[in-house]
Order: sequence, then structure tokens, then C-alpha cells
Amino acid sequence: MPTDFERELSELLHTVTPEPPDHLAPPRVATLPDASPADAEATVIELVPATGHAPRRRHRWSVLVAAAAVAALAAGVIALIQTSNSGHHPPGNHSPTTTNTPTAPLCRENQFAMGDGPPLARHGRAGIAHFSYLNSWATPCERRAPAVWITVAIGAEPTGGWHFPANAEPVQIPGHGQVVFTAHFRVTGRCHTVRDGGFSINVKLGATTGSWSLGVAGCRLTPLRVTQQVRH
Amino acid sequence: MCGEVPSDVSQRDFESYVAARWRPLLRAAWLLTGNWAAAEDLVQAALARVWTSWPRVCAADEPDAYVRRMLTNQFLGQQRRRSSTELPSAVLPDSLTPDATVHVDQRLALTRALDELAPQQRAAVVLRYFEDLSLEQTATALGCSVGTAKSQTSRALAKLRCSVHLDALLQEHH
Repeated sequence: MPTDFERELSELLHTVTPEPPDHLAPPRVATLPDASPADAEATVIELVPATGHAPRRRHRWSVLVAAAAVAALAAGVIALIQTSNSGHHPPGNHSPTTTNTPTAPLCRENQFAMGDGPPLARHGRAGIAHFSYLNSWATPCERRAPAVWITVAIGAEPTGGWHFPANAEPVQIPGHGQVVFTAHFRVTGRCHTVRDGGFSINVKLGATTGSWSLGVAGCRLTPLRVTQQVRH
Repeated sequence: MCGEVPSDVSQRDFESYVAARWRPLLRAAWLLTGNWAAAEDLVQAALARVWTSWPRVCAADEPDAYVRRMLTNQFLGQQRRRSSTELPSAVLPDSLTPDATVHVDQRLALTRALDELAPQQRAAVVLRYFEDLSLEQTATALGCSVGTAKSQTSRALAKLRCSVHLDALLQEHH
């Protein structure tokens, strides 16, 4: 049997605890493909930050993170821009390369299209941004060594960043499929949207380079890892 | 409705669940954290974890119990990790929004009283007297034995009985 004090406490908790303000709408967690359990079935390749062996890497990584986070704050902005240098290389410009899956030819530079730019999705202190390359042709093809750079810039001037080196395995992209990259960030502070500025994500896929930027400011972003997936 | 294989249908189920349970979860999280921003972070983090196990959660007899446990674990985990992982920012980009409610003093007194409790004691109080769970259910949510849940609750009550903040609040409430 509850005591009087317990009853009073319970009543107090129920009556004094406020209703959430209206601006605290339900989160977007359900709509993020990255958090989807369905994706647990898919192959996810993690690109680790560039640098040397693990103990030293950790140290250097933290220094880089601190430096670039400061730069991100200084830049203060992450803008939504899409630019692409893709499609400017002649098809015959590829060097021959060995492959584990001989059925797919090497991808041509002009058969890629950039996917939609990534709004930064946030779950508490975890932030996620997706960006993708679409194989606009019906035939599958293969790409070697995709790599990702996440850079901080003030205007167009880069001030620091992170390099996630190329995955050693070739990536096979089905016809009309896509390579989806997911950058995972730690987010501190509250972000607000801005139009211009420079925290950008650069992806180099073979000779194709794409650049995306996130249109938020006021928060500190620290890239933690990048994953890549191939989707049909 | 859950199915073993996650699908668009299960995503819609999850969205429905979140829409239905968002506010109660947020209120419980407010009691745990004492402010809306942290409460929102806590619930979002817990729900993100729920989503990754959604087919299992959805198929459980009591999905709410599962979710409560994840929320509690998330809260207790954050309390343990906070000192080493939280990075205070020199810049405060958040803009202040006025509290449109009229019971600010009461809420402040309540959160101050709860702030005096250890995280596990605070979680026990919220589960027992706000979520109205039994001792067994509280123990399940806390991930401990019934005896431990009972002792955590008793210690919390003993502290709250001595709390000047709660005492003032109870007198005002009468």
C-alpha cells in the first residue's frame, strides 16, 4: 500500500509535470534510411579516417577534430550547395584495372548523377547526412577506391578537414542503382539554416568528384565516420 | 502488424507509435532531465535505438515496457558518460523562448527536488510514481532486481522527504 507521501508525490508528479511545448514535435527518426533496420541486412562498408596506426591515429584524430571543429565554428556555416565535376572526362580515359567481378565494366565518368543534397538529420547529439551517386545508365558498372573528404571552409577557402581514404574493395553499382554515403557527425549546439558558407562534403569516386554542403550554422559538427552502401 | 521483416509497413507502425507516445515519453524524460532540450535529446536517442530493434519491440507483449527500459538505460548511460563526452560550447546559439506556462515555480521546485537524487533513484521515482509502474515493472525498466529497485525507491523517498523544495511544493499543493 502506498503511503500518504507516495500518493502525494505521485499526484504532484502528474500535475506539475508540464505538457511538452508544441514546438517539440515528434522526431524524424522513423524516416531516416540510415537508421532503418532493413539496412542492417545490406552490406555497409565503413571508411575510416585517414592516418597511421591505431594508437597514434587516435591522438592525431583528436587533434584534427579539435582543429577542424574550431574552424567549423569560425566558419559558422554549412550551406546547401551542389556542384559536380563529373562527366568531364572522356570515356576512354580509364586505365585498365583488375576486378573481382569481371561481369561489370568500369564505370564511365559521365554515367553518374549526384543524388539529392543532404539535409542534416539529427538525433540528439548524433547527426547524419546522406549523399549519393546514381548510376544513370541501365547497365551495371564498377568503381574502384571511392574516397570521401569532409572539409571546412570559410567561403571558398578550405580551412581544414578530414579524409576518409578509399575503400580497397571495388564497388559494383547496378544499373540505375546508387552508391549511398552516410556521414556520421557528433553535433553540439543547436543548428539553424543558412544559405551560404562552407562545411562541405567532397566525394571522389574514381575521377568523379562531387561536393555537397549542409545548410546549417550555429552548431559544431565533428565527423566520426563515413559508411557506404550500394542500393538497387 | 509488426512482421519479422522490417518494411515500409513497419516503418509506418513505428511512426504511428512515436506520434502516439511522443508526448508521454517526453514528459517522463523531462522529469529525468529537468529541461526540455535534454528531454528531447533523450527521447530521440532512445527512439533511435528502439527503431533498430523495432520488429522485436513491436512484437513484444508490452512495447511500452521495452521502450521505457531503453529510455531509462539511455538516461542512466548518459549520466555515466556525461563527464567524459559532453563538450560544452563557447557559443550559445540557442535562442531563449519564454515559458508560456504559469507554473514555473512549481516545476522549478520539482526539478530541484529531483536533482537531489542519484540518477538511478531519480529513474526509480519517475517509473514508480509518474509511470505508475509496479516494483517488478520498475525493476525490469531499470534492469535490476526487485530488491534493488525497492531500495533505490526507498532511498529516493527518504531524500525527497527531507527536500526543502519538495516540502514547499507539497505545502503549496495542499
